[in-house]
Amino acid sequence: MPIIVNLDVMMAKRKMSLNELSEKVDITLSNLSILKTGKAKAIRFSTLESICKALDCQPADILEFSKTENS
Amino acid sequence: MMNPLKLFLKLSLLQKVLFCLASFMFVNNIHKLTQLPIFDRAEINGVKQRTTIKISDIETEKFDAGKINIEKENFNTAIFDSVSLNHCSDKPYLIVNYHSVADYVFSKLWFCKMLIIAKFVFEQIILLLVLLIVLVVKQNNFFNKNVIKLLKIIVCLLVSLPILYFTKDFILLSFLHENFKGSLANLGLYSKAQNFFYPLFFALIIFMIIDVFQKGINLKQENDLTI
Repeated sequence: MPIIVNLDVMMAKRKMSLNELSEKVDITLSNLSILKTGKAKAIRFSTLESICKALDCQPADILEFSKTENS
Repeated sequence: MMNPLKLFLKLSLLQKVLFCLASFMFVNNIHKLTQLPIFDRAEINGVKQRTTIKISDIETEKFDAGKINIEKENFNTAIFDSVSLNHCSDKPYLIVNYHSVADYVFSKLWFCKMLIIAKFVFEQIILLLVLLIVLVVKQNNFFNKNVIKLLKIIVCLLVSLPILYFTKDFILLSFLHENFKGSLANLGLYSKAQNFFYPLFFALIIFMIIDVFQKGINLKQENDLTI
């Protein structure tokens, strides 16, 4: 998919662990892991909203569009 | 109370076993059946034998060993061309012209038997696969890649069934026409059209079901990976 998830970058910037984020956003650790590794096929607006709230960032900070990425 | 599925499978297995045995016995005894009209007209030691003489009876008769060596030859592997009686000598004897068919014709019958067994095995495998699919579906794994694999195997087996039917019929009828001059052509040995049509029809339906399953799996995967 040409959409890259930069969740790990934002988490590193905010110095937040995956466990901490999963508790704040109320998403299971496995789902968050799927999102972080880029295996997710879609993301709900509600999830995106809660992640943005927890990390205090914009959706563009988490998601990025890349023309060259084809995997 | 007995599970209806198990009952159906047991009855189906019984029916298939009986049918397979009947087909097997028919092919096994077909050459014996076709020998009878020849011996019906035969004369042994000058006495007309109007009643049907069975091969086993012939084998027990004492004949001139120099002319026909019946005790040594196996009648099950011979086709009789002509039977005549020689009155000229002091002791009349039977002249039987025959050619051995053990190497050529009976390999065909052997192949027919193998095809009947293969057909039986294929049908049983299809039944078992259907049972497996039911078990997988019962475990709430309806949209499962294993179900698609099982369905694909069923399609392959269903497509191969008419090929087996056709090959068996072709070999059996060619054997009959070569050796018995079409005398058995009217016995209704040809397989019915349904035998060819139904497996292909079900294969087509299952092929469409596979497509539906594939789309279902894709949707489920997409749903599972939506965070």
